Parts: sequence; C-alpha cells; structure tokens
Amino acid sequence: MDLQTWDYGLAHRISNSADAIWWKAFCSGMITVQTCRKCLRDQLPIGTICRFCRSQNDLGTRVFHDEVNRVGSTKVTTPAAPEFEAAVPFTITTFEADSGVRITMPECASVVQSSRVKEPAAIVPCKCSLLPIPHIQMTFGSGE
Amino acid sequence: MRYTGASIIGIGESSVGKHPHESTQTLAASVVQAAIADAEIDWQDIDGLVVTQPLVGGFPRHSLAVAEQLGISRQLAFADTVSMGGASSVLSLQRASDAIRNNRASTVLIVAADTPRTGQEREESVRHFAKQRHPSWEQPIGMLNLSAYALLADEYLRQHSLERDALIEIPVAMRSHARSNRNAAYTDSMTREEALASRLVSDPLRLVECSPINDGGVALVVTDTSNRGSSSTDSIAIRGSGFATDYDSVTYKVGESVDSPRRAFARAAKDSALGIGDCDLLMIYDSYSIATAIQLESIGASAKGRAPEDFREGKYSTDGEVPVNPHGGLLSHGHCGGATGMHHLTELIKQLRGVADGQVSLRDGVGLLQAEGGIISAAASMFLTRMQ
Repeated sequence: MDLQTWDYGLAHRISNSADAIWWKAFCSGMITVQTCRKCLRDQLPIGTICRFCRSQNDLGTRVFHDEVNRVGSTKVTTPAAPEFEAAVPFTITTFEADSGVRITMPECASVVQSSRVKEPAAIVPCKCSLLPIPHIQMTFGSGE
Repeated sequence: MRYTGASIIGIGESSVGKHPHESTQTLAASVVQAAIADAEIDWQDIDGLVVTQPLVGGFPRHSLAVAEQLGISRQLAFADTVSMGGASSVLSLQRASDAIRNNRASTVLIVAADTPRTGQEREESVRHFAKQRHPSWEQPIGMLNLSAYALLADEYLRQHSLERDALIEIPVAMRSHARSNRNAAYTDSMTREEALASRLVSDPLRLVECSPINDGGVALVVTDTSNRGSSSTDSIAIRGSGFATDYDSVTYKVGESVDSPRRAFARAAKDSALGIGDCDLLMIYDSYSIATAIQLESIGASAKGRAPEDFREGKYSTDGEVPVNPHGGLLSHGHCGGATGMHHLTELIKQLRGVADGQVSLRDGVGLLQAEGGIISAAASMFLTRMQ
C-alpha cells in the first residue's frame, strides 16, 4: 500500500477541508507546510488572512525540513474516530521551524520515541502501512 | 468598604456524578429553584438570564429555551448564551455583571446544567471533543483535546527539565481535597503510587490527570449591589475580571509559553485593585493537570516550573499557604460538560460565606477564579470578595 491509496476517504476529507496543498506535496514525498505566499510565516487555509502580514492570498508551500525543533510529543491511545482505531497507539508530534511556523503530524508506532534526549535530524513522509493516515518518519542525529 | 456594581446573592447546585433519572432541563430546574430560595427573591424579580451551552439537551438559542421552560420569557430585558468552554464560568458572571452595570438588567439568573455522563454514549463524547479540534490541521490526524493538552504537557516538562511524572502531584492533591466534599464525584483515597499506576491515555498524561466527565448543574442569582446593600454576609461582591486569548487551536500557539492566563489575570487585578497576595484561596480550572500548573505559574502563584513541587510541598493544600480548589477541582469533583467550572464558582462563594464542606481559613475574604477554555485558548480571571 502506498500513500496514494491510503484511506482515500480520509485523504479526500483532508483535501476538501482546506484545499490542502500540503497533502499533495506530502504524497509526492515532501514534508511541507501550507503558508502565506507573501511572508511565508503563517500556516493557514486558502483564502484566510495571514496573522503576521494580514494579506489575504493564495498559498504557497514551504518545505519543512532541516532546522526544526520538536516542541511537543504525545502517544495517542484513544481513537478520535473509527478510522483511527487500527492506528492507535500512535504518536503526534509538533515541530517548530526557526521561522516560527509549526506543524503537527503523526508518527508511526514503529518509531521509538526518546523525546527528552534526542532531536530529529530530519523528518520525511513515511510510506509504511502501519498507520492508515499520512504520517512522518524521523531520522535521529548523532548528537546524543 | 462601600461596594458598587454586581454581587452574587444566591446559589443552587447539584451533586456531581451520575444523574441517570435527570435530563439537562430537570437538573437546571432544580438548581434554579435552590438559587432563588437562597437569594430570597421572587421569580418576578429576575429580568436577566445568562446560560451556558450544554453538550446534551441544548437548544439552538439555549437562553431563550431555558427562559421558556422556566416561564420567565416575558419578564426578561436581557438574555444571552455563553459558550467558551471552561472559561464560561467567569464569562457568564462577567456578562451578568456588565448587564447590571449598564442598566440592561437589575437581577440576572445564571444557569449551567449538563448530563454528558448519562445522557450520551461515550463515543458521542469522544466525537464531540474530536470535532473541537482544527478542521484542517488537527482533526485529520486524530487529535483529541487530551492529546492537545498532552502536547502542552510534554513541552512544559521538557522546558523545565522535569520528570515525566512530575504533574501527578496535582491529581493526588485534588483527590485529597475532594474527600471532605459531599458533592464530589470521586472521594476514595488515592496515593501517589496509585495515581502513577493509572494508565497513560496520551503520554505524558495519565487517566487521573484528565478530568472525568459527569452530570451536574449550578445556578446563581446576581443583582445590583444597591438592591441588597452591603449588610448581608451571604452576598459576594464581584470585584473585577479580565479576559485574554492567544489562539484557538494549539497548532497556532506561537513560542514556548502560553500567555493568555497572565494577561487575563493582569486585567482582573487592575480592574479590582487586588493581587495574588490578597487571595485567601485560588480556584483554578483544572481540566488537566498541566492546565493547573500553567495557570498557577502564569498568575505568579508559583515560579515557572515550580507548580508541581509546590503541590507536593503542601503550599496549595487546604491548610497550606494558599489553598487551591478545596472542593477537589474538576479532577476529582468532576467535569460537567457545558456546565464545567461552575462548581469552582459555587465552591468559592461557599468558602467566602464560610459554609463549605472543606472550609479553609479566611483572612480578608478574597478569592480568585482563574479559568480557561479550549486548550488554554481563552483565559478569564475574576476576583470575588466577601462583603464586610
């Protein structure tokens, strides 16, 4: 199973929820954040107003990699909806780029969390089938 | 001291727990009867109504439906529904106080009741809280409210280099407080070891660090202080309040700290000319252990990263330096859905009147209600004082 065929219903919902261009980029193998095209600082749905530059515009995507900080992480054991029942437990993590933009994404359960001592060197879309929702995989640095 | 503005002259409350034979409407009716009797007023004295939006049994224009059920529709000059999660307690009272100050009404009834424990299936509750998350960034990845709080907890523990189980001190303290409260839902003893044995529901939060959903209701009568004068020892003055917000969804949190409780408190302190050092007790909205810690530190009661240790050392116990939630808080007294946090308010009033089950000692008769809604998205603070 690859990303394109994962839970089409959920993907469709994500796409419809905000014309999520990050989802399309995710499927093509990039972690991106959907940002204001003008200042690139805010994550926002299409057509809404950027909190920082106040422009109301179409969106661009900013590739989300390299200099990111993991700011919060939690292992979820309660499914929020039936489509998540097979997925739990899984981990949700929030990363923050140096620009201040945040992205919160699930990680598959195969990734062992050691959140207090290691920071990820890179995060990439994970193509395993352990988690039936778009999720990420982390590569840890050797700084520990 | 001469008091002006609005004061609380009557309260009615139910126990918190399972009310399988009650609906949201019948619970509301019971607590309203009790509040009116406590205030010693007549039904026709009420000309304002503020209600909170319940999870179960709500109407689209809920204040109008409650007025209709109580038979007070035609006498109302003011009606409103507050739906700001856990901050609704302070904001309901603020709304009533503002209506009185602006001569929109002279006596306002506040009603908050809900039956989410017995009135709906667990799955419906989960769905409700899932739908509260951001539709684009949070719902699609399976985030619940408790996971959003867990992200805050993880960030807090790392930021202050605390142990993963540091926050467990808070539910342990709340259980200890609830044991003397006849209306609390959970009164059996709980040691630190027993709390640590509770299962992780969203790491680092354990089940006992998440407030349990229950049924319950509260009603209050608020009036223009000049109607009652300052002679009644049962009247409680609304001295000042403040509101602040940073974001709605936690995904939009910017930077390391949650700042809205600090700003809401500063506004309330300025409005009332009171400070944290004036308070005999603090009522802190404790939907999750982490919410309690962040708010206590934001208002300056604890130093940053110190709240769990302050609980462990007894600073916030019922006989401590400044008691916090002597009724047991949401964590042990229970979370009543759309009526959540209202029992913090009735407990504070009973404490200031000197009639609470777990009565703490009072110095000046000043208490603070610090509340938050969403994921500490909306913060609201209010000082109440005993009239003397």
